[in-house]
Amino acid sequence: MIELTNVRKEYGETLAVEDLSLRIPTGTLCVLIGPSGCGKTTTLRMINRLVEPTSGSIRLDGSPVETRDVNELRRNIGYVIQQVGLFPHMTVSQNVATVPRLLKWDKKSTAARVNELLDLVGLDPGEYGEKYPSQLSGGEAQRIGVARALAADPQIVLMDEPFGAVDPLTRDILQSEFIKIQRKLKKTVVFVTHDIDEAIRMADTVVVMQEGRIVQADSPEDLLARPATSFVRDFVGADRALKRLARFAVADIMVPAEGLGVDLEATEIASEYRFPWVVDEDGRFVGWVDTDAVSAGTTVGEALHRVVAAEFCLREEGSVKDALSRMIHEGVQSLPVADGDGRLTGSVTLAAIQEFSTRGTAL
Amino acid sequence: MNRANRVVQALAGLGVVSLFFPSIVAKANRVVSGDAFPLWDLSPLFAALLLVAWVLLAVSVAGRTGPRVPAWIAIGLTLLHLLIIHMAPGWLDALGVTYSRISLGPHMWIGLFSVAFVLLDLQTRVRNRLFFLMVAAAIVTFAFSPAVQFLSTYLEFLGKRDRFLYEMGRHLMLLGWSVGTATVVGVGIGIGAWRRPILESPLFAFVNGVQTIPSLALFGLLIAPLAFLSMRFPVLRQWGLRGIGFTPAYIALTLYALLPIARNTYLGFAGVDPAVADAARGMGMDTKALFLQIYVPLATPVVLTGIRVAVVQAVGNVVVAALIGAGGLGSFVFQGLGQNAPDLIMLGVLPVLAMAILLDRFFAVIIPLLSPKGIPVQP
Amino acid sequence: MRFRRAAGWIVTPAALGLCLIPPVATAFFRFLFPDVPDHLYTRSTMVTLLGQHLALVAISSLPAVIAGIGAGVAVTRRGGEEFLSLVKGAAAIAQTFPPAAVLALAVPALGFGTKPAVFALFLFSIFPVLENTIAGIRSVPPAVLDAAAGMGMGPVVRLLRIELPLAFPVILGGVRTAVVINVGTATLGAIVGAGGLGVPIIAGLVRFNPAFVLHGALVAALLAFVLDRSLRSLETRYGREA
Repeated sequence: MIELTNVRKEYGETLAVEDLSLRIPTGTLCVLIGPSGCGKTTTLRMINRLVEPTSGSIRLDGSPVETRDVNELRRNIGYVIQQVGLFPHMTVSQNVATVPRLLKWDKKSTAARVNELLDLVGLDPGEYGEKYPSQLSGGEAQRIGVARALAADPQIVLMDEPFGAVDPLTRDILQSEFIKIQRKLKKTVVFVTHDIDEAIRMADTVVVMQEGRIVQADSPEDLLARPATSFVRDFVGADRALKRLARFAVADIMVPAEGLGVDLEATEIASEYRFPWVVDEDGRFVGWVDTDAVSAGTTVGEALHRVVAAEFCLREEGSVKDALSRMIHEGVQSLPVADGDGRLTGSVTLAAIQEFSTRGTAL
Repeated sequence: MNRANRVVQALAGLGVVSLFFPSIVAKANRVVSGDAFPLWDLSPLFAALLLVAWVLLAVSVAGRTGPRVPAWIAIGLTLLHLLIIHMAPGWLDALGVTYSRISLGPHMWIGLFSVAFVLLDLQTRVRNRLFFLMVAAAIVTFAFSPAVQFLSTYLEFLGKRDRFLYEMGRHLMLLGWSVGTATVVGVGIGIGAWRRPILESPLFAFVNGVQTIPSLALFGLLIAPLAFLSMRFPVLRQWGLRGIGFTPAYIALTLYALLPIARNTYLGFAGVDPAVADAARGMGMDTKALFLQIYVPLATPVVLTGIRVAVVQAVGNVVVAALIGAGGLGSFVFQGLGQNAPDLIMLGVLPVLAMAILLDRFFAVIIPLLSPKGIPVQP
Repeated sequence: MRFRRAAGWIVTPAALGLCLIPPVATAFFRFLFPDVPDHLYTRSTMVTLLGQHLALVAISSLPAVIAGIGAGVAVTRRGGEEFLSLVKGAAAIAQTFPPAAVLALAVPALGFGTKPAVFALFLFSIFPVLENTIAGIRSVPPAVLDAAAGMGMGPVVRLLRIELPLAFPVILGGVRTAVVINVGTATLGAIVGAGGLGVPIIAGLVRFNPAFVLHGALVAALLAFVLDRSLRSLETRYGREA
């Protein structure tokens, strides 16, 4: 657990951080967010003593940071920055091995650990181990930065706008992958960003700062549902209802659905809907049919509107926000949900999304 | 190469123009200015050959042929020029000229200069090592030509061989001691200015100031106090410290070499990406590890480049040191000037030029070798 | 800081002035070197020698600046780009030549006197100006040139109104380097009979008279300082405006 109590940082006349108290439970991801100059990076850097507080105390699992040897402290905390700061004269493996080497691990364990970490961040150790940072793309460099920070298996990881320097597509991918890593490793992460969408997506707790003080510290849902001040409300953005929907997966609000068989005769149709889904004999989604248009004597298959399942169906892990966006775009009231093989597993309706949004709970 | 290579064509034009200048100068002794002979007088055949070769060169780069044809022509031109030197004694004998030594006239210098630059330009397009080995071989075989005995500069060398080696030794000694001392002090200044920014301004003002002073003046400024000291404290004389000679030269040369080294050291260390340093500190590297494992390797190529610049400059500065009695190849230069013997001047100048170029190339090769891999190094 | 700068502007010219006034100089050197027979170089006055020196520097620098800027401009035009690598290669090689060597080589060709000195100085000072002109012109942001072309400025106008003014501070730096090197090399001109401040230095070396040497050296060093300082302040002034 990280505990900041009445922490204050002055630079001459300027007050960067004022009377900040915060408790970050072990194994959670806490995002510090706010406009430029609000003190979020300064706060982060006080945890590993790159900045020394003017007053107040910071404790890690009860032990205050000031009393520990500063280098020993930092070797046990992971640190990732926006520009990554990979050592240009060392290979990727040497970069990742930096802290284990400082901690005097033996060569075999270090090498094994480096390979393990490269795999963790999705890079092939054989291919990337001997490369130099100048040969890496932005996204690859960022992954190595994360791997390097996790090398000595620290409990605490500090991240200062780590995904800020890459293009939006890469940033999205890096965020997803880091969420997966965090789910597996359960580190205590302090994450600084100025991007509210990133915060909403990744955080267990969001801490909004303004001019050196904490304005609100809540879970993302609560932050979106109940912003504490007009500043927070404006910072979060007018589309916070939609932002909230981004946190939930289609799987959270879908209902089971069954499709009509392709070979069904017109007379056998017993659907309560006018436009039911149609599946083949393996249960794979093939399209939809207008029940009114199926004339007597024909099968469903002949009146079928075929669509490509991969494009048309929602995925269970997709976000509710994206589902809503699709429905508005297509002008429909519901969409099917299919799994990886294309089999129909359920459906999502516009009404369900709306009810979920207002009620605030999943069905 | 689809566009005409105008550079080579211009040089070829220069080559043709050079044919109108005297090619070989025959002298009865070292002081007389001698008779100058254009190539047409000595050997119309060779003159025609050269003319044709230059024109062919210009034509060969005009169109779609690759760089190999011009390269071969350039090698041919080099050989032709060297052959001229080889054949010159024979031609002069055939003309009935009495001479005891020959030297190269403007045509040879301009011609060789043009060919050298053609080769330089083509080198960037032809990346074939074999090509240049051939050129180097051609130049070396020239050294075995009997004509060499007549070359005036060579004769000077023969006449003064022992002294030449002695002065060359002194030249190298001054070079080594001054650049060596400057490296130690200069790196210290550079790092000092980097660690304590308040020192940066005065330190660099001093070092820059020293560079502004004309070299002869600096030597002169040092002589006076050193002469004064050595007169007052005879014990210093016994240690070899005099007003003139090695000591003021050594001090002045060291001072001159300080600027490139100190400036590059400062730039090298201060130029390390702050993000890299921040990440290293944040990861728990202590000051010593940070300095040795991060700053030093990353600053090394820049520091070495500063030393390279200092060395090349120093080779030239040592020439002036001869004036204050420190010896070195400059003594031949100034003696030659005093005796009005150009061949003696050349005996001093040619080795200095060769040293400067060789040392520069030497550094170009070893700097990448000594620098850590993975960072781009400038050639 | 301002005090230091003002002190520099007063002290250096003052020292220069003192050296040039014979009675003051004589007294100064008599104080330093009481045992030396002559304290002042009497063949010509310091002022004359200073004048000769300045003349050498000026006569060689001016054409060199024009030639250097001209060549630098030519090589950065679209037609001349082919020559760029050659010129850069030539400049790199030329920088390795010791000034003394070039001066010495000019004598067999041009005889003794001011001619070889001016020629050698001219050759030497072209390269810093050339290199800095190239660097300065290339540092002009292409977006600016693009905008100028878009506004209908022809190539000559662009050169005169945009490129040269923006490159000016850098070019001026090259001129400063060239002038300072020239002042230094011109001291060696005394060896080839070109006069200048090297004369008393050489005379002093030959006759073992440290007073002569120091006198000549001081004036030469101070001259170099004054020129360097004034050109630097010009540079910063133009740099700020740009």
